[in-house]
Amino acid sequence: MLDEREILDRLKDCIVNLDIPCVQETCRDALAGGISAYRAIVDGLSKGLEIVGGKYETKEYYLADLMLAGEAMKEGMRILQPHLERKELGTLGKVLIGTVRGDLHDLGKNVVAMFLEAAGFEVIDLGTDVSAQKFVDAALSQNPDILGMSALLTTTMPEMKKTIREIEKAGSRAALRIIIGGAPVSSEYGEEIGADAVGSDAVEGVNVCKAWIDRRTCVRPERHI
Amino acid sequence: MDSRKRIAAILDGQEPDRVGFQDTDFFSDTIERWHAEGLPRAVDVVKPSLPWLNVPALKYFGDDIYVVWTDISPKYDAIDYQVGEDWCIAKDEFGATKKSWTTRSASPQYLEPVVKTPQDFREKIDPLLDHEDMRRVSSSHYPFKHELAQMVNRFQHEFFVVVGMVGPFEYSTYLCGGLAATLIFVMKNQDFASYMFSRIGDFLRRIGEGYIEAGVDGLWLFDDQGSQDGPFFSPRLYAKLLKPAHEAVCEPFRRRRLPRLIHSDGYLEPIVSYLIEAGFVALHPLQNKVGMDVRRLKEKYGKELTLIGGIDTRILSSGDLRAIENEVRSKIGIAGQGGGYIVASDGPVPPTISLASYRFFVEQARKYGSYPLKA
Repeated sequence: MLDEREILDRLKDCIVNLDIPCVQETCRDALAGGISAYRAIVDGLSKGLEIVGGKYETKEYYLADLMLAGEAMKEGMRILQPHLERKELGTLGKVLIGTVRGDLHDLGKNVVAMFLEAAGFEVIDLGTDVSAQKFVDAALSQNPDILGMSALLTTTMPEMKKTIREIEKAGSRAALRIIIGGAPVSSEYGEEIGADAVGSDAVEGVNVCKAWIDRRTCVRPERHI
Repeated sequence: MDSRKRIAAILDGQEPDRVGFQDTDFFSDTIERWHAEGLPRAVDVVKPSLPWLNVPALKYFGDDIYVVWTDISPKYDAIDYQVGEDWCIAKDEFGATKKSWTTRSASPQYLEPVVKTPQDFREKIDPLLDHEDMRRVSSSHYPFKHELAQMVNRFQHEFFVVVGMVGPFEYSTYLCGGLAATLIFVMKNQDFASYMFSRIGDFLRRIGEGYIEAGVDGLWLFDDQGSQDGPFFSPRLYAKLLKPAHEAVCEPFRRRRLPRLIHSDGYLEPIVSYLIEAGFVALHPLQNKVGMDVRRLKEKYGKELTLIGGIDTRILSSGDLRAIENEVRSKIGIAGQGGGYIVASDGPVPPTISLASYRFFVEQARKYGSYPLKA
């Protein structure tokens, strides 16, 4: 019988090895062995996903590997989430995310959402083709810490600027950090439209969000452009 | 030198009279802007189903290649479910239900894929990949072969004519519900995915044979293999799962020494040598924003690959004529050495580029593209 440390390491390795049956079996072993679902997620699965993110950054893993890691993570969460205690459901922060109006691409957004959830954020995914007004309405009703926008077309990028302007008009800008991403989105564009950061890929985007939350005591949002 | 001889020389590793030119992927918003800026109305977005309407667009900007598109779908009947102001939800000829924009160029959103399990592919797609279906040009019973050959021959008076086909991976995305769903399906079912790609690859091979009989000059496969961060699959997985299918599609053309071109977006350097091994002799579009610099690729792969594209659409969008001239001159100056280069923008031409800037780009390509190169 494996001890707690061994099971947590095995959970981490199952994710790193992209092994869904291993994740399923080891999650059940964790619960049977008295390990809390919270620890299994935070100290097992999420640690594995962090390593996968690192391997993606160093080009050891590719997008297909990342997607399979996400599926493995989802499968583990499916088994463990029903066993989470209510008080364990606190989050690092709340992130509102969506693909802008006129754009139906969601791959990058979905990968970012997956990594944010694994990192401990509460993610509200507005989906695709999200109008500026819908972002504003959601920002006002959900009070997120961070707003993330994705666009994959040069023709839809202007919606990011429009959304930021609408958020400013609604008086919500100061309370919010805004990160944008997508293939055509550059640092220069982010600077031009007043975003706080541009994520060059999903993993970097999540790291920026984590850095913001770590520095929550800052008076002014730091810019990562 | 006419277009056909020019492109043949370039793809054969010879130095032509001038670099080739090929740009046919324009957003509908771009053409709309250009019509307002003075582009003749007869010059319009390329419509694969209406080939003769495309000729004014190709000739207007001096394109050298004509792509004859072929219907490689399983041929399900399309059904419209719901129509909105600028979108529609419909089942398409691949059997997938998707939401598409009707007023702009953009990728669709898959609502219900046709293939969710290996069994779905076996039951709903496999039986329909029949090259002997008499509706297909590859069938020995296809009744319109003569007309097809006549059409190819007429286009060859003005262009280098290739058959355009979607490749096995892209084909799979139409079945499995888009890129993310396909990557997950493939990674979870790798052995089956290998079969699926090979099955599709073999089907495309047989379709290609039909177009070779009709007299085309080559193959242009459209099969995105990567994104800004790199190839979708590791080189090892590409070699295991997809390369055999690419080899199969290339085989009849390779056997007859007809060139094989591949279009793929994304940063592809980890797999370029594998694509060459699979049989491709030309690569398009060479996106600058992801690091596919045509000058570096020329140095590394210039002996084995013709390079198509590489002109940065961000620079064309700037409207800065000096920057545009420098971009064209520097790219042609290196990529065009000894032949082996066809000028094109590095992606779909967006509406951020004015007609004046685009015309200037075309002029610079003419100015700096004649051999011996002035660049």
